[in-house]
Amino acid sequence: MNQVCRAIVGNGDFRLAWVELGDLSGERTVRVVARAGSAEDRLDRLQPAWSVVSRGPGRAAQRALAEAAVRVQGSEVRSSAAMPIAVEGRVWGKLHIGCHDADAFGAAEMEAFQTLADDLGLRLGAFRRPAESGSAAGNAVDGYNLSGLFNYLPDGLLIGYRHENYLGANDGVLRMLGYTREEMLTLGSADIIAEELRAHPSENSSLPRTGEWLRRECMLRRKDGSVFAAEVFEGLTRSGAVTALVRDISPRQAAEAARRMEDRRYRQLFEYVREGILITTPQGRVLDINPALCIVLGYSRDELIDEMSTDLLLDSADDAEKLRAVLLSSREFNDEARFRRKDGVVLSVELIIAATPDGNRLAVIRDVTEKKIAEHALLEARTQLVHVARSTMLGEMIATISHEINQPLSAMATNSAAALRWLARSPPALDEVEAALRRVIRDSQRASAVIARTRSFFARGEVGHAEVAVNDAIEEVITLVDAELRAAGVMVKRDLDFHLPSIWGDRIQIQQVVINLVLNALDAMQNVERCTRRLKVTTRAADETGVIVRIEDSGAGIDPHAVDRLFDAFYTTKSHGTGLGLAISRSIVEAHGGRIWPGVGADGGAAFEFTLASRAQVVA
Amino acid sequence: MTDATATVVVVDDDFSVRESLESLLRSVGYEVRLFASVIDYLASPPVSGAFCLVLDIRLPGQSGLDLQSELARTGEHPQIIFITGHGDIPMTVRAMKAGAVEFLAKPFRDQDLLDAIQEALRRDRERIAGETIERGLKARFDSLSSREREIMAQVTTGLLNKQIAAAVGLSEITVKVHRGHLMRKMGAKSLAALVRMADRLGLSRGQG
Repeated sequence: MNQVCRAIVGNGDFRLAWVELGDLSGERTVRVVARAGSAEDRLDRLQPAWSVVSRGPGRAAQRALAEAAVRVQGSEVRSSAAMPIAVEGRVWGKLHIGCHDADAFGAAEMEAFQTLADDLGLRLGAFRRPAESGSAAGNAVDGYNLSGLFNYLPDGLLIGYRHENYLGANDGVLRMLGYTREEMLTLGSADIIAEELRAHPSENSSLPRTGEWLRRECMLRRKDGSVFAAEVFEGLTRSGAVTALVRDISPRQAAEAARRMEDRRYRQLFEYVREGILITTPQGRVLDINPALCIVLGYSRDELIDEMSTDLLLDSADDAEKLRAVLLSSREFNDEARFRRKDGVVLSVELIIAATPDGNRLAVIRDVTEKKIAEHALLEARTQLVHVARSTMLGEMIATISHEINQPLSAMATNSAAALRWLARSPPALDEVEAALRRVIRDSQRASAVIARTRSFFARGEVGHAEVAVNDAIEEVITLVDAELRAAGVMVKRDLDFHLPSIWGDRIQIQQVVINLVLNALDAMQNVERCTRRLKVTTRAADETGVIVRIEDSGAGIDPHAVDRLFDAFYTTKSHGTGLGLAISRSIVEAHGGRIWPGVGADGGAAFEFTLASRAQVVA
Repeated sequence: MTDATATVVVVDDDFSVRESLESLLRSVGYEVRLFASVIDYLASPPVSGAFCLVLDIRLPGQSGLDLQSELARTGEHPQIIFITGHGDIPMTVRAMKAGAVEFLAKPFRDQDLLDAIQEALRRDRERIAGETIERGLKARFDSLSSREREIMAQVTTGLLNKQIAAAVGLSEITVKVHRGHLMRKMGAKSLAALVRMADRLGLSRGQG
């Protein structure tokens, strides 16, 4: 503005030029903001005052600041003129010109000065737009720093007439678009707008009305051809020029798009996840529920929204009370609970509750009813299997025992018959009778020994869990199947550790495992030469696990393809196997805190090892 | 009680059973031989005269059934009585099909065993007698001249003297003389008896 003033003073007979701006907000004071001329210092004593004038004929009457009384004492100013400076039709101030000559202002001069005043108004308007608060205008429009201020703006600023090249651009818009100022001023809006994002219904409505802002979103093209999304606020100056504030919104848009995508993703998760999801207030009122949970509970979404979840869904009043407290407290919860379905069926669920960032509660619910039933069934089945296997084992043992007793019994019958026949001879062969009877006594003792051994085996079976001396238990088993082993020509080797800790368990069950493994070993050796049939039983104390038992044979070994399935129930490689032996053995070993695994024996046959937890371990 | 020459061979791995059988069988007058396994038995010298086997089915190593089939392969068919502690039906059927005399489950009645042994020995003696007759017949057949054997073959196929004379190129009278000689040498009192002998010797029709 000072430039304008100086231009006026330096170009003709005009002695003095200044710009006054009024504070439009409230105090109605007027300040001189720029000046030039010979007597400019005298302006300090100028007392601008607020008043209203109307301006020249031929134009619509306008409110203007008053012609301030110019009392420039001792000055050479003989005549003066004031041109209103209008921004969007409102007069903000005036351009004042004083002249040495009287009557210096003709129509031509008046027209020229008015153009200058309009130009000042245009510039002022362009600057004021972004911060249209009124009160700051007077202070901010400091004339001296106007263009500097524009350049500090992070936003871009463009001024120009529609469909013409831009008249002005600040640094911000140059940075944004990548042009130099000179280049920028050779371009118009058509050159930089790549695409309207929010298309306007008509060309007319794309023109802002004076005094209003029109917001548009468009893609702008940089010098390098790349485009970005921008928000453009357009305002119209009184002179018809368009001021455009340009803001790069691509980061914001990208963030919004990402957030929308994330929202959609979470929504999708919510809709499709198999777990039930429930969102409630801390009081338990249902805010949202996903389809999976609706299906599990048998309610429609509408039936549950706004209902109190704790009242409606929980099976017992106690549970409801407990969960009400959990929801209110915002503490995390992860436990099982029992829900009631709409039709009254009670469900076992795994329930996780956590507070959401917005202060509500998120509950994730998994229906484990079937899993529970299956677990129970599995337990039942295992118990059954153990029972079946024990009966099977009993059958095997009875066959062995009956054979064991049958031999002496048969011999006793024959000896007795022989004795009678020796006696019936004439003369009776008494020494033969005596020998036969002695054999009867011997064989009867042998039979009763078998029975005593068997009874001790079964008698202890009733006890259930007790302290078990593993070596003794194994010896007993080997004795029981000794006849079978001998008949098959198997050489049994024992390598027992006599410093085993006693273990805590069911003696019969442990013996069942040993019998299973021994009988398997026996079967495995059916197809090898009799003279190479060897069975080795080893026991060792193990610090960590208690006791290790190893049973190995000299058979063909375990088929590598079968290893993975060895312990599967009903998996068998024998024509008459039940496929239960190893499955049950593992079940028993695991119930005793141990584990069982296959291996390779010293002779290349199969080996099985299992551990049993010592008493101390089980109790701990 | 029974003829003293008969022998009973017992193969059982249980010594109580072995000893008791030995006593019982001796008490009724049999020769008894005891073995604990099939291998032991096979390694022993053969029994002369009538004998039978009392075999436990389940034996260490080769079982009683294994022995039965092995002996059958070598053309021996001794009379066998099986005894077992736990016989099942398939085992019994197999044993009996293979020609076992009896199958007894332990403990058995002594009389059942003795009856079975008697039956077995009867069959064995029959076998021996059959073998004796055959041996005599063979000796007599061997004493014939080659012409007589030729004519015997023709006669036993049912040809008349005249037809035989034409076939072998002799006179009917000469054929008649040869025929009288061979009938006497073979000890055949009739043509029918001679035909039976020819059958037993395996001279089938058409054989020359």
